[in-house]
Amino acid sequence: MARMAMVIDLNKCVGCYACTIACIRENIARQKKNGVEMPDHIFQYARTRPIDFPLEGSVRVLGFPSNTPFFIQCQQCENPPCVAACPTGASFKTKDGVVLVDRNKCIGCRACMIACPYGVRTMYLGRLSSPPPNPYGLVPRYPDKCTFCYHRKNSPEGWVPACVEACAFGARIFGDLDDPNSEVSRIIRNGNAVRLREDLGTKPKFFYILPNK
Amino acid sequence: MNRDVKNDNNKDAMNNGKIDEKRRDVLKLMAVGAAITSIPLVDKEKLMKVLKPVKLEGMLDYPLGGPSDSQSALEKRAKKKEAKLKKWCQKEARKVCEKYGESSEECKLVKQKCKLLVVKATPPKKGVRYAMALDLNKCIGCRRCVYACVMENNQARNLHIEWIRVLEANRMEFQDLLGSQWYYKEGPKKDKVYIPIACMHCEKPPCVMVCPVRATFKEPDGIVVIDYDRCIGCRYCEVACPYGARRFNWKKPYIPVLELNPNMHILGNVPRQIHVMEKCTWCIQRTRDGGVPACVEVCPVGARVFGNLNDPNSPIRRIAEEYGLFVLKPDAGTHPKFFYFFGPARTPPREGAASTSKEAQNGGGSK
Amino acid sequence: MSWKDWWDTFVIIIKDGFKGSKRYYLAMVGLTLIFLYGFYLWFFIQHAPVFLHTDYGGLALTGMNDSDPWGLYIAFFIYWVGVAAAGIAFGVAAYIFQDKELLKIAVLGEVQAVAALIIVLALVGFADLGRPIRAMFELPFLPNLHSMLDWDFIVISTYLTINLVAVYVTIHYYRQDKPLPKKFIIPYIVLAAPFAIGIHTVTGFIFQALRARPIWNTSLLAPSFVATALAAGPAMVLLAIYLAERYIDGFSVSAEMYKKIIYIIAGGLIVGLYFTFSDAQEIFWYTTEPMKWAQARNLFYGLHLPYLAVLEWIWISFAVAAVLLSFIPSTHRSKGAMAFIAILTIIAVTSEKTLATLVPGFTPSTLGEIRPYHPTPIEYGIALGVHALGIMIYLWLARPAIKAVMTHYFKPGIKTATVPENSAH
Repeated sequence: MARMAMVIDLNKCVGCYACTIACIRENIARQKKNGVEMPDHIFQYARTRPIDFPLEGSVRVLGFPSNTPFFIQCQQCENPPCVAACPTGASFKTKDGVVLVDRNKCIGCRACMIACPYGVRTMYLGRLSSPPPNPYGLVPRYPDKCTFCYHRKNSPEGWVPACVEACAFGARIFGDLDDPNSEVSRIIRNGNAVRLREDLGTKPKFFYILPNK
Repeated sequence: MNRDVKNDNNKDAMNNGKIDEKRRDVLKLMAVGAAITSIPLVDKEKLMKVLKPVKLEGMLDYPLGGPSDSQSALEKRAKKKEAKLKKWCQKEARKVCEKYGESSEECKLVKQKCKLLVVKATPPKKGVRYAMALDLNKCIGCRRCVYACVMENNQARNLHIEWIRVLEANRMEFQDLLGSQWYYKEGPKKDKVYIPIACMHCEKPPCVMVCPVRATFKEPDGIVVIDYDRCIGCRYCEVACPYGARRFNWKKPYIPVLELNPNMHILGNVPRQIHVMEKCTWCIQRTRDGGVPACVEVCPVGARVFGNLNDPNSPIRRIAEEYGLFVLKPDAGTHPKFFYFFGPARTPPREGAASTSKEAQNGGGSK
Repeated sequence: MSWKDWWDTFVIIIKDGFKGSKRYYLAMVGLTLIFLYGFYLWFFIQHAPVFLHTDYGGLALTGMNDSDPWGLYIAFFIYWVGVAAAGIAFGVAAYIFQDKELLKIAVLGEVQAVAALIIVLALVGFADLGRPIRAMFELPFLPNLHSMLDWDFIVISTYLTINLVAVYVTIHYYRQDKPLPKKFIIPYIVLAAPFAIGIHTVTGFIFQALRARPIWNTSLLAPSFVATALAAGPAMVLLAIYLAERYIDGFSVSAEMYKKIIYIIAGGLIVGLYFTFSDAQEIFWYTTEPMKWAQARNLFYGLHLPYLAVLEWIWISFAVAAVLLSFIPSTHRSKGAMAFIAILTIIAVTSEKTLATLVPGFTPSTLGEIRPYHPTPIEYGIALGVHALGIMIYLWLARPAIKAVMTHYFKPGIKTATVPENSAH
């Protein structure tokens, strides 16, 4: 068993959106002979996307520098409401603690999108002619969410999500919480990581380190 | 999994289901009519007035029902109480002097206390809004603030009333208070975070809302106080408080005169009667005279910061801008004035790696 | 009609309290002793530091503490407010529909409301309140209208006044064998019906608006209070008629009336069960909120307080049993069987609306502390004394009321006005 988790260090994040672009490249945009095909309003469907303010009622941050970028994506909860809400069991949690959608079972009812307290599940209702760039990529009319780039799990370079790979400042740290020597668990043990909407008891595995100026 | 499923059954379903077109037309017509008639009726300026955010400045003075007594009545009451307490103090002092002898240290101390004894009714300063912040990275859970609070605020010694509670929680899930410990034995442990919890002095205090006799109210300087002479002991506020900050005098409170704090405020640390509620007042007897609360003064690691939120140069504003503050149970919507923050990280170096000063300074886990 | 007649009614009500059989005297003396013992416990022990300035005593003697600020007193307060609220169902229905059978027992519902409200005021205003004398001065003059407790006091005292007037007027007219005048009936219906629902709704509002206690923080609380009250109140009326028929010569109510009350009870129980089920769905299906989940587990499984689970499951099982029994046609023929359903209902609702409603909100408390609440003997003693007072007032008022009803409706010529076949012949 492993519990994969991610930390965003808001001290280091400069808001270059490299992670968003990398995610779009990795999971959403399709390479075609005569160009790139991607959904309209692409930033709505990027799996990690910037939002203007921390979620209302989450970490109510006073004097939070207004230009601090704040990225949100699937929180990979340990107690995910989306999995509980799914009528067919298409949403499920893998042994790595990653919440995935089995498209063979999904009936497109969008119950998971309603159940998610973070609003990070999306569904593209338009059309895309070509197949997704990877087996876990975006497919129209299916709920789409961050998978921590699950297709890279067994890659020879190790499991590094595209956003982590793209971050030039090391603001994103990815690792296993069950491994006490991993970078992530070390930071969370000793650092100042907070989670969103702690009161809901969803126990996210996605942490934010609040900015120290 | 990577198949683009073509599923256009929805369209057919829409066409098969019969739709009453006439009914829809009528409804549409009604809606359009309503819209047309409403346009000339709505003045744009009036609409903008409605949409404008409400100005909070004036409203925040005594929200949700003010105090039951005016300032002058409070002062009168304070004077009466002072006379009564002085009498009581001298009576107790005689007992102490008999026990220890006239020339003993105790006797002198008690006599001095009786001389210094004062019950104030200092009104709130204008333009001040107090707030406190606590550095969770610094707090070591030594509970010295608790002891200082008990001594400073004349809390009953026979009731084990402690206004501050220190919780020991896992650092991973520190906001999940269910898994936290109240009665931990020994000092700072690895992987633990210590969360002192007292009255949060909320902007929208549920306790003030539910008090049936306006015995508890929020002062303009942001301190939520209890009028001990008005409290009827229904304990509704204790039920309503999301932070468990209130304490009830279930028995007749008792304070030895030797441990009495002679500097008192009528709404703060004046000795309580039986069956009244009490809670943290941010040491109203000190802060209104320009001091800081006892817990702030005593904290050995300087984890607590107290200041005026309205003052741009106050330490609390500096902390807010540098570190960002957050509150406990934000979902309760109470807008507390007691903030928590993570100060400069104390991330120790990884095992095996040499501890360079650079890494320690870098904060939260650099690569 | 002069003032003297009204005064005579008053004298009759007072005098009737001292007339009666040996059994009645025995019951009254016993109840008085229990009440005096409760009063002694309250005045000389629990509230001694407040009234007598002693060093011993205080609410510390009860099982309540800073984690469980409310206990047995408030628990029974919830129950009796419900009983009081439901008493009015008969009065209003009787006057609106002018149903003769209902009119006979309407006054019993009003007497029940008066007795229940006196229990309520004694519990919440004296037994539980830390400083009752202060409250008497401050509640009317310094109210905070944001507080639901204030509204509760306003509504309860108004409702008590309405019911006292109603009982008095009813006895006054019926004793002289006159029908109730319209001048009284119409204002009574207009005033009493909203207040009846109001007292229990406001009681629900006291609890349901608190964000600090997640298990109460559901807008179903007030409706479910009203629903179960509409089961328990009529059940108590039914039991009272059943006993009155046995012990008062010449008083009888048709089985048809019993059946109607059983319908009300079954309806109330079904809605109450449905609300419990609806709450359970929210808690056990989806909720991820840790505090609510912990409190609900305490309620349904009784992890830290086994008696909570026992009470909750008694409510569910007895209520289901009562509803099922009321569906069987043969029970509708026997008054004894219907009285049995009423007893089942009273047990079920009492177990749900007392400690099983209140205590889960406190275990675990807001900061996650688990400090089990167990009532102490002094709490039981004082609660018992208060209940003895309520029963005393009920007996005192119900006897002249039934007598007055009998002079009006049970005239010598017509023995049973209730059976249409007999009167037709």
